[in-house]
Amino acid sequence: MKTLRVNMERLETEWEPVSPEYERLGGRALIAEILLTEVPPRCEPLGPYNKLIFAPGLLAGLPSLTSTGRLSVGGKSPLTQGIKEANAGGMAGDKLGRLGLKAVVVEGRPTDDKLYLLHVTAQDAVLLPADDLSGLGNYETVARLQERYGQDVAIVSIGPAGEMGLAGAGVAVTDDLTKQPGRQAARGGLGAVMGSKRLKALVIDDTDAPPLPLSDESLFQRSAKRFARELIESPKTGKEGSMHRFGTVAIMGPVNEIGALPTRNFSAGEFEGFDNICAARMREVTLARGGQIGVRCMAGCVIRCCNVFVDEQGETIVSTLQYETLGLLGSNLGIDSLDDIARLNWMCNDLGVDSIEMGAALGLAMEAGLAQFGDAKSAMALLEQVREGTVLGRVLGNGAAVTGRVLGLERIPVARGQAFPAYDPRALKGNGVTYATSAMGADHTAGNTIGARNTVDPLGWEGQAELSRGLQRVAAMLDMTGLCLFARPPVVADPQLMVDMINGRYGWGWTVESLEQAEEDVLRAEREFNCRAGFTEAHDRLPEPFSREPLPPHDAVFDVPDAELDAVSSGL
Amino acid sequence: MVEVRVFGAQWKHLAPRLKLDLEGRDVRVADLIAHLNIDPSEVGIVTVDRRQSGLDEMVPADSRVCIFPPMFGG
Repeated sequence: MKTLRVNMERLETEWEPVSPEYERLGGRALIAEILLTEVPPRCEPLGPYNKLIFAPGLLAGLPSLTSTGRLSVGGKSPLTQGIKEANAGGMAGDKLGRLGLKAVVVEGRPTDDKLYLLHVTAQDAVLLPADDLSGLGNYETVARLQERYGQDVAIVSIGPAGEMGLAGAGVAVTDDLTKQPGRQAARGGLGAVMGSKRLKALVIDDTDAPPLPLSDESLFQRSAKRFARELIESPKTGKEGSMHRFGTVAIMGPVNEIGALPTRNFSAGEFEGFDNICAARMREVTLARGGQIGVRCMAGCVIRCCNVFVDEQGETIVSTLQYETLGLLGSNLGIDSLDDIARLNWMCNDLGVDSIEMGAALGLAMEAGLAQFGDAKSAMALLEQVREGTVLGRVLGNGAAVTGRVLGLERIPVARGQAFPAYDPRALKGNGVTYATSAMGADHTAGNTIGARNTVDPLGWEGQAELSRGLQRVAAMLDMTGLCLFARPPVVADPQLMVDMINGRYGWGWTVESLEQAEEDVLRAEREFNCRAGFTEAHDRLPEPFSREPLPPHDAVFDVPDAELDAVSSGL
Repeated sequence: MVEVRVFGAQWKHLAPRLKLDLEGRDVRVADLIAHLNIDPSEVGIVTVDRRQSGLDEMVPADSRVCIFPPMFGG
């Protein structure tokens, strides 16, 4: 394995062997350690001392292993001012893994304002001029690069929002089926960090990459086969399961029912337009129009939870339309048209902004009277202002916290400066604990408690801290191995299965205890970085209005005691 | 009458919305699920009157019960 260092100041690339300290780390774990070791925690996120890291998980690049090719992207976040890892499915993680790359570490920034792209192959890695892509959206960027390099390369790119350095900017990744930039390492503004490095895109070509070595082929193949079989047979992830038949939108039913669906800037927890955007409706509309359900984003994925959402003429609007986007750009804006939400989603993808962050920012704009709730055309016009770089567009593009402050609003749904995902923490208090205590800020992938354990009442505070903490560890395990969040049941039920896959690949002789230690180490390293960056226990709280303003229909408030939140943090 | 809403695709023998007359009997969520010929291992989340409910909790008269298959957030 090797690391690719990309120096944007000298415009040089260098392959280096993986240092012993980084050898047993992957994905989010490697990002945490590199940032803690190499990046000044109080540096300006868009300045020369921050680093942008692309790191596949420990199990990436193995064709016989399903659902482990997620790409982690990390750096100090311009949105949270803390450590950030965001990950995406698609083609890039597996291709980097297949090239034997632990990480691509992008350092410094050019002395001029020109744009560059990084072309990585099995033989070489070169920085090339990319000013011809300046200002282009992600879709046009990818189309042009595919003309040049073919359809089989993976492309990682930013849109205009990243080039402008907007803190809501994400990093787009092409997916395996449509080859479109529909997968997003969206959260935390890492697209702005990429823009600050003047890096428009990575083109990753794994042609001629030799197969990865396996330390114990028999153990690995046996474990990989069992892992795939259990996913296929699982009622959650198998062919008859909700994830395959409906996709992530399936979760909207219980979230709306328990009153936790963000509605009109988090002012209510149930949406009267639910029936128009729910899972059953989306499946019905998609199939009736000739769209696709049960689509994969990573090669060989057996879950296949994605979709291709099409218009009435059968033309693709966006792929894939997911729950978080439906929540934030749908119910949170009072919009109950799947077509409108899909178009807003496409615009976010093209601009290269996080649909969660933008949905929250637009919800605040609507509450402030810049548009009416339910008015999709006005929402699109506001998004166009982001593309045009107007002052209002830049305010929105910098996310919910900035938008809320500029517009003088009180109920601003953020934790550590990052917008809440599509679970109101007053009615799903375990998620509130995660939003408050995770080093990642409000992040649905950092420890999502919905339906996790039926023994903890989402509306009560008891047991939430322990639940969240356990799930934060699971999330760390997934993100260091490159495993999809939805592929977790077999390895959560039997962590030895994960240990066997790692040992089969590397021969490290890990035990379940080693794996648990690695999970803890990730969370500790991230917390340590944030402490050094100036974060204290005072940051482990949700905005005060969420403790005071009752959320219909249960009139719930976020009332998890501070001591419970501190117990989560101090345990890390 | 108890209003039951069934989500997902597993339970093709059931209408998405149905009403059940419990005739004043004390019924647990687990009893209701058995009555509907649903395999409990196929059940993910159950809500009773919009609150997440365990299988041993009682189903009040005139309540609304929603039954969801196993699923993930995200």
